[in-house]
Amino acid sequence: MKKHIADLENGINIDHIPHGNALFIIQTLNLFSSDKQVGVGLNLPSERLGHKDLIKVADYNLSDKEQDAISLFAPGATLSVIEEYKVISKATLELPKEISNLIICPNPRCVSKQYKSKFTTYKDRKSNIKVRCHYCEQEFLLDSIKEYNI
Amino acid sequence: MHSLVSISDLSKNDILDILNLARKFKEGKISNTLSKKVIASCFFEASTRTRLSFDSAIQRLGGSVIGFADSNNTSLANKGESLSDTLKIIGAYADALIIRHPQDGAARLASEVCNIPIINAGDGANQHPTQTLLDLFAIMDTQDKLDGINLGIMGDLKHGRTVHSLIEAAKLFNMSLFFISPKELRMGHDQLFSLKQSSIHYSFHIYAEEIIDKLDCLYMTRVQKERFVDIDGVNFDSYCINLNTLEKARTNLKILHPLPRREELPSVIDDTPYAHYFKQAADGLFVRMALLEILFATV
Repeated sequence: MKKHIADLENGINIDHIPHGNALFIIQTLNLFSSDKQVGVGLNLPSERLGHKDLIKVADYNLSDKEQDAISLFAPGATLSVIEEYKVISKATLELPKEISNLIICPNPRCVSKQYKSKFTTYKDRKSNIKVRCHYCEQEFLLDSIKEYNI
Repeated sequence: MHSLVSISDLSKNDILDILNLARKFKEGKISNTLSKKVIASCFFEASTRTRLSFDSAIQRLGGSVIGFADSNNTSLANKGESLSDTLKIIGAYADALIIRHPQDGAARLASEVCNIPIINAGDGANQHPTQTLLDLFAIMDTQDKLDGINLGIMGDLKHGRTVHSLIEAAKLFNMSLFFISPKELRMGHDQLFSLKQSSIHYSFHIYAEEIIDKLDCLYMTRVQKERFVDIDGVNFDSYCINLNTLEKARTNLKILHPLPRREELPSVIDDTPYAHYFKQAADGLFVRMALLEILFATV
């Protein structure tokens, strides 16, 4: 019998993604051009979030760097790892305090462009996620970051 | 303290230790702390006051200086060597590195690739912590205290590097801040929020005349028109002071400026008892001597 992504035999399930972020995560993980089966749910009803997105990827494991990226874009999301139809681990992704070599600093004068990047993260008074460059000390709204090194 | 990269690396006590020692040097204290020490003074971009005052401070403390005031003759400029490789090598030749570089964060990078103390002498538009120390020294030296000072800060408060560092330090000393600038160049919301969180009193003004009778010090900054994307509509007149501005000034008022100055601070002010900016720059020598002495005392 042909298996369907809805019945994930092996892979990952990322649930409780703040709605609107799923496609960005798929783009970040470069899944549009991969041969993996991907299931996406957009604007699904959620008790916790009101609306949420969901992504399932068959036969896929996240690298540490990819997990950092998803934690940054979708803090609060749950990551389940599935093997032979069973959830073998489930974790709530928390906003990482530090991010290394993922964000490319938008400051054109920043020395990290020719070295390595390191950012700390925090939420501002309006609960927007902001990142602060360890080198140039400038702060940016996460939504304003255009370039990533994944 | 191992290095000084950012003013936020310093606690209130660290700052007071440096300023109190600077006062002793100004009063004639002699030290030979840097005897047999070689300090690299590497200025990848132009500087007059900062470089020469550091060089003078090193030699007055008995140390010797290597380095350059123009990076055009280095392997970095001519052979494509990376900045981190260049810094590693310099770190092997010297006991400390004083660095000015046009890129933001260059001094932080230096502190990570070199095993010697690093002093940031200005990294692009980011930090210039020794300027902040000598600004604080000027306030302490003229007012005999830092806590509770009424400090006017005038000019480009949105972009000014020295202003942002000075405000970080002002929070430690519970100063009252009077921001004088055109509306377009006011302090950013995040910085104002941070002042609020620290319970620092601040207010906004367009012209210095509005509050000159309340100020103990007026800190001015250079007009940097090159930074403006849209220069039309910005009222630069409110940047400038003249003798009339000072009519109602307190007798203890001192005007500070990181220099170089432009039209915002005309030379007619130089002969008034309020002018302190040349002494402020001159005392930078003692502040830098104090910093070097303390860095080597803790190495």
